[in-house]
Amino acid sequence: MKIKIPNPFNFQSRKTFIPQVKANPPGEELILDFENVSSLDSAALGMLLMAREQTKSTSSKVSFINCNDSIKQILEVAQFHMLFKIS
Amino acid sequence: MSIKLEQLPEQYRLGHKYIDGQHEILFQLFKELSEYCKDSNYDLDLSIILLSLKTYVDTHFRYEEQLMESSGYGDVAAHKIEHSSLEKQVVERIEHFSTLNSNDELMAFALDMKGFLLNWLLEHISVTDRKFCKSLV
Repeated sequence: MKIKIPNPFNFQSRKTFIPQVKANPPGEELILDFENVSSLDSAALGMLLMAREQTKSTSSKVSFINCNDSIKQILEVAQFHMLFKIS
Repeated sequence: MSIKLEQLPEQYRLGHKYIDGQHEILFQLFKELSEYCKDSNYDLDLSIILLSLKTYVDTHFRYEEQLMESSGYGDVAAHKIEHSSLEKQVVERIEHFSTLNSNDELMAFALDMKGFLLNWLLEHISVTDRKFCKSLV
């Protein structure tokens, strides 16, 4: 399943993001598309960690696509490349 | 590009972009635990929040340990002992969590876990991490 991440990605995005993550079919890769994202805060980073655990509980994996250089830098500071497939 | 520091209190900021940013994310996860404690109908299970915290504590500790080794930090062994002590305690507590059933028990556990982790981390940042970050200057 693919989710288009909203911009900005922050605590306000939670109401739509968490139900979308929970709706990912068991065993199916969850692809998070960052094409429109130019900013994300620590609440968003926390949500991504929780999305990872939520999908892991249904034997799925999470990957990020279309991350721009700024987003990649933030993910690198957070060491998320150790936890997610990022492109 | 840095992670904007919103949850990490001023006095616990160490001036290292990566370490402060990762601490900020841990504080954000503590906030999730607090929100869960306020609302038992929270949109995520407590287990998801706890596992996210455990995963990220491990990730953050590995980052710090690699940085200590690559920078030739003298107190790396002692710092690693502190990390592994916390990781062991977190695993034990999560094992205990899996035996809980009632909502009251889960709430009490969440509050206790938040207090335990927050106090541990604040002490660790104030003394051990601060000492390491000073060595990098």
